[in-house]
Amino acid sequence: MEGTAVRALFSTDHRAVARLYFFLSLFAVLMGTVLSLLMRFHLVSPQAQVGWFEALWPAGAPGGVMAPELYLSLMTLHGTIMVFFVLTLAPLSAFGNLVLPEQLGAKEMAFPRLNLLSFWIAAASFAVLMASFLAAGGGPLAGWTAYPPLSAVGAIAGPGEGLGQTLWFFSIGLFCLSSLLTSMNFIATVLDQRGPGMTLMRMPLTCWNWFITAILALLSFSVLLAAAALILLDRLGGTSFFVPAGLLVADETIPHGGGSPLLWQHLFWFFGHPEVYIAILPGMGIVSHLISNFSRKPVFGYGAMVTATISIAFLGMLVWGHHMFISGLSPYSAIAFSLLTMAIGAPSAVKTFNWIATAWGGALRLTTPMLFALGFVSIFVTGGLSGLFLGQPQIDAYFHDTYFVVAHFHLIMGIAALFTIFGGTFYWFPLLFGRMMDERLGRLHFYLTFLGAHAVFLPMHFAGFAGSPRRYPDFTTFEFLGPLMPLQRWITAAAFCLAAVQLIFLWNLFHSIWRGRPAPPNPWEATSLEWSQVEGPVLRGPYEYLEDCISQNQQNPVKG
Amino acid sequence: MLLGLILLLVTLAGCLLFLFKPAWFPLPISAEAIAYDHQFSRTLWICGAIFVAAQLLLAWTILRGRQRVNPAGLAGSRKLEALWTGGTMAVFLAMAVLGSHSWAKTSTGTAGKEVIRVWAHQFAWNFHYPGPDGVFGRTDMKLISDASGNPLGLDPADPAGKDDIVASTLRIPAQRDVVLLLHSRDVIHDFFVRELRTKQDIVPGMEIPLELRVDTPGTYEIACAELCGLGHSQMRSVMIVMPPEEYARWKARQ
Amino acid sequence: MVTDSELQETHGGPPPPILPDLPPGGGGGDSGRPERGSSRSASITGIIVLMCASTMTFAAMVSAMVVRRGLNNDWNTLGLPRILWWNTIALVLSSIAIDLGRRRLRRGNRVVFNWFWSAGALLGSLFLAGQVMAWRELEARGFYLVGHPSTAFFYVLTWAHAAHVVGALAAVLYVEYRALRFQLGPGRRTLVDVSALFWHFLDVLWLGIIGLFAFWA
Ligand code: HEA
Ligand code: HEA
Ligand code: CUA
Ligand SMILES: [Cu+2]
Repeated sequence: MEGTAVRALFSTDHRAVARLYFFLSLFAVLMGTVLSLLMRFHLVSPQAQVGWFEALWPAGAPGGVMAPELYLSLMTLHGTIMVFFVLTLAPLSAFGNLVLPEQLGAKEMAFPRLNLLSFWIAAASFAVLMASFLAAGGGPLAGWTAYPPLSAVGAIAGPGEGLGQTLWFFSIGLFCLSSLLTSMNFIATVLDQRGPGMTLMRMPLTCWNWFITAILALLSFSVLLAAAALILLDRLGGTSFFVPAGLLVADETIPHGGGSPLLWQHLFWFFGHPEVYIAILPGMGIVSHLISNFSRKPVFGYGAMVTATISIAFLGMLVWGHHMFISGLSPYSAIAFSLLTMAIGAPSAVKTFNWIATAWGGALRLTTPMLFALGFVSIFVTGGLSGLFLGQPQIDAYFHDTYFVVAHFHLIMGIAALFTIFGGTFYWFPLLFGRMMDERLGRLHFYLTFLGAHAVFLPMHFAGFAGSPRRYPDFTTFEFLGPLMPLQRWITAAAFCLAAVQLIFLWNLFHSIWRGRPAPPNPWEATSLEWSQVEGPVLRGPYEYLEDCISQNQQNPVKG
Repeated sequence: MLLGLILLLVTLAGCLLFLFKPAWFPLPISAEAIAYDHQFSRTLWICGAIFVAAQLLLAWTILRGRQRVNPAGLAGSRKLEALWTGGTMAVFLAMAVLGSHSWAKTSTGTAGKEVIRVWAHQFAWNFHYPGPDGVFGRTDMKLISDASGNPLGLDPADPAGKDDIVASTLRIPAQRDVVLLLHSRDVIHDFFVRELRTKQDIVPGMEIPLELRVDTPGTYEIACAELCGLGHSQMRSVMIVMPPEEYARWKARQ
Repeated sequence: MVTDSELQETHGGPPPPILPDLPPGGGGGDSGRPERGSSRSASITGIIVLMCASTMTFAAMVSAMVVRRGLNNDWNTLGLPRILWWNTIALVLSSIAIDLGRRRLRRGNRVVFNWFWSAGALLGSLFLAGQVMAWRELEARGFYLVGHPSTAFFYVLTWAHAAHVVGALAAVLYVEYRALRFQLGPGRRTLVDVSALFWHFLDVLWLGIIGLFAFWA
C-alpha cells in the first residue's frame, strides 16, 4: 500500500499526474472557499469576537477581532489561490493531462518526466504560498494584483509587506516556471504526438482549446516571470524598477527612486488579462464537447469555434489596458484598448450562438455534466455582459474597483469557469477513478449551486451601482456604505448557503471514489478516443453521432 | 426541463432586481455625471435586452429538445456565422464609440481655473490651496511632519507659501472650472467621489490632473478606491461644494 | 569519414559499434530506452517553444528598460568592460564549433564531432567565466546593482542570460559525456540537435543584449 502511494506521487503516467493536479486544486478550492467565508463573515460583523480566530492568528486577530490587515491577507490569498491554483491547474493541467493524449490518439504526453516535474514545481509553489500566509509579520495584503509601491518597498508599507509579500512573489515565480513547462508539453503533444489519421481539424474542440490556451500561457507567464524577478530585485536587491523617487512611507524616506509603478501594471496585466482567458478557454472546450455529446449532434460551426478560440486568444493579448483605464494612461490609448475589448465580445458571442445552435433541436440528455455545460452558457452570458460595461472607459471610471467588478469576475470566472470544472469532473470521473458519480446528487448539487450563485452574485452588482469600493476590510467609516449593509448581509447569508451546498458535491465525490457504481467502458456514448475500445487510425471528426455510438477510429457499419 | 424553467426564473429575478433596485447610484452633480448616467442606461438597455434574449433562447432550446435527431446537415452554416459575427461586432463597437464620446476630453490647461493640489498618503487626505497670490509654496518631502502640522512639507522660507491654505477637507466652488492636481506621498491611492461618477488613481511620482465642474452645492464623501494598505477603508474625507460667493468668503477668512 | 581503424587509433580499443537508428516517430528520443523519452520532432518543437518563452521574458525586461529610460533623465551610459567583447567572440566561436560538430555527427563522423563539441563546451565555459570577470570589473568601477538604472538593467539581463547559459551548458556537457562514450550517432542525435539549437539561440540573444548596451543604452 505504501509502495503504491509513493508510486502514485511519482508516476509519470499522464493519468496519475492528472490525479495529482486534481487533488491539489481540490484542496486549493476548499481552502479558497473557507477564506471567502471568513471574509464575508468579517464584512458584515467586523467587531465580532471569535475565539479561534485568535488561536489561529494571534497577531492578526487580537482578542478574536479580525484586524483589517488579516482581512486583506485572507482576500489576497483567496484571489491568488482561486486564480492560479484552481482555475489554471484544474481545467488545463488536470483535465488536459487526463484526456489530451488519449483524445489525440497518443500514448503519452510528449515529455512525461517534465510533466511530473511541473506538477511538483506547482506543489512547491503552493507550499510557498501557504508559508507566505503564515509568515512572521502577517500574510501579504496587496491583493492578487500586488501593485507597487505598496508591494515593493518592504515591511515599512505595513504588516504583511515584509517576508509574506516576498514569499508571495517567490510562489508566483515558481508557478510561472511550472506553467511554462506544462504549456511547452501541451504544445509539443498536440503538434507532434497525434496518432495516425488525427489531423488538426479532426481534433475534439477540447484539444483545440487546450492547445490555444497553452500558447497563451506560454506567452503570458513568461512575462509575469520577468515581472516577478524584477520586483523581487526591488524588494531584496534595492533596485528601483517600480519605485519612484522621493517616497515617504510611514515617515521614512525610501532611498531608491526613478522607477515606475505603472510599469508593473503593464507587465502584470499583459499577463493578467490573458490569464483570465487561460482560466476559461479550456472550459469552453469542455462545454462544446459536452453540449455536442449530450445533444447527440455535431458541434455547430466547428471551424467557426476554432476561429473564435484563436481570435479570443489573439485579441486577449491586446486588451490588458482595460484594467488600467483610470491608472493615469493617456485617454487615447484607453480608447484603443476599449475598442479592442469590446471587439473581444464578438468571438465570445459567436461561441455562445454556436453552443445554443448545437443544442438547438438536439436529443438533449440532461445529465449532470450537460446541466453544468448549459449552466455555464447562461452564466457566461450574464457575466460577459457586465464586461461590456467595464470595457467602456467612461463607465469603468465609476465601476473600477467597486463590487461591480467583483460581481463581474465572480460570475464569469468564479462560477462559469468553475462550472466547467464540475462538468469535467462528472464527465471524466470514470477515467479518473473507474467509477461513476451519483446522478441524483449531482443534479441536486447543480440546481442548488446555480440558484445560489445568482443569489450571491446578482445582488452584488447593486453594491457596485451604489459605488461600494472593493478591498475594503469594513464598511463602517463611510456614510454611504451604511445603507448597503442589508444587501451585504444578504450576500453573506447566500454565500454561506452556496458553500454549504458544495458539501453535497464533496460527499458525492468522495463517496463515489470508493463506493460509486463501476463505470461501463463508454458511459456517455461518446465518440472521442479517450473512450474508444478499439485500436486503429482515426477515420473521421469527433462529433459525428450516429444511431449507435461509434468511435472516431471505428469503421462505420452503415457506410461500410 | 427543470433547467429551462429555472432559467426563466433567474431571468425574471434579474429583471425584478432592476425594478426594485436594492441599491442605486447617488444623484449626479455635474454635466459629466449626467452624461455618464445616459451612457450607462443606454448600455443597460442594450445589454439587458441581450441578456433576456439569450436566456430565453437557451431556455427555449432546452424546453423544446427532441427525442431523436437527424444529424445530417446540422454541422454549421456559413451564413449564420457571418450574420452573428457581424451583428454582435457592430453592436459592441457602436457601444464603445458612444462610450468614448465624452471620455477623451483634451485638457484645456489651468488658466482661469481654480487649481487645488490633492495630497494623499497612508491613510489620509490633504488639500493645498495657493492662497490669494495664486502661487503654490515650495514643498519638500524632507520637511513633511504630520506631528508638527506640516503634512505637505511646506517650506517656511518660501514667501509664496505664506498665504497657502492646507486643509483636510476639500472645498470647491460650484459652477466653476476646478482642476485637482493629484499627488501621492507613498503608495497608489485613488480619488473617488461617487456623485462625480469618476475616479482617478493617484500614482506616486506623477502629477495627474482631474478637471471638474460641479453644479450642485452640497457635501460629498471622498473615498480611496485603490488598495493602499490596512487603512484603505478608513481613508475618508469630504468634498464640500459651495456657492461661489460663499467659497470666496471662506477663502478670505483663512 | 573516419574509419573504424582510425577510431581504434584515437580510442585505443575496439571501436564501439555505431548504434542502430531508432524507429522513426514516437518513442525513443536518444535516451536509449525507447519506452521513455519522446519523439525527435516533439523534442525539437519543445525547444522552439521554450525559446519563444525565453524571448518573451527578455522582451518584457527590455521593454521595461525602454520605458524606464524614457521616464526620467537620470539615464547614465554604461562603459562596457572590454572583456565583454572577448566573451562575445568566445560565444560566437563556440556556436560555430558546436554547429560544425553537429554537422559531422549527422554524417557519422563521431571523432571529429567530439573534438568540435569539446571545443564548443570549452568556449562556452570561457564565456561564463568572462561574464563573471565583467561583473567583477563593473563592481570595481563602482557600478552596483543599486544606483544607476542602466547598470541595474545590465545586471538583470546578463544574469538572466547567464542563467540560461548555465542550463544550456549542462545539456552540452551531458552530450559531451555521452559523446565521449560514443553513445551518439547519426540516428541518435536529437539531444545534440536540440542543445545546439538552444545554444545558437543564446548566442543570438547575447548579440542582441550586447548590441543594446553598446549602441543604445
Ligand atoms: C474567466 C475570466 C474572465 C472573462 C472570460 C472575462 C471576460 C471579459 N471581461 Fe473581465 N475580468 C475578470 C475575469 C474575466 N473577464 C477578472 C478576474 C477581472 C478583475 C481583475 C481584478 O481587478 O482583480 C476582470 C475585470 C475586467 C475589467 C476591468 C474592470 C476594472 O477593474 O475596472 C474589464 C474592463 O474592460 C473587463 C472586461 C471584460 C470583457 C469585455 C470580457 C469579455 O470577454 C466578455 C465577452 C462575453 C460576452 C460579451 C457575452 C457574449 C454573449 C452574448 C452577447 C450573447 C448573445 C446571444 C444572444 C442574444 C442569443 N473585465
Ligand atoms: C475561481 C475564482 C473564485 C471563486 C470560485 C470565488 C468564490 C467566492 N468568492 Fe471570490 N475572489 C476571486 C476569485 C474567486 N472567488 C478573486 C480573484 C478575488 C479578488 C481578490 C483581490 O481583490 O485581490 C476575489 C475576491 C472576493 C471578494 C472581494 C473581497 C474584497 O474586495 O474585499 C469577495 C467578497 O465577497 C469574494 C467572495 C467570494 C465568495 C462568497 C465565493 C463563493 O462563491 C464561494 C463558494 C464556493 C464555490 C462555489 C466553489 C466550490 C467548489 C468546490 C467545492 C470544488 C470544485 C473543484 C474541483 C472539482 C477541483 N471574493
Ligand atoms: Cu488610500 Cu486606499
Ligand atoms: Cu481583462
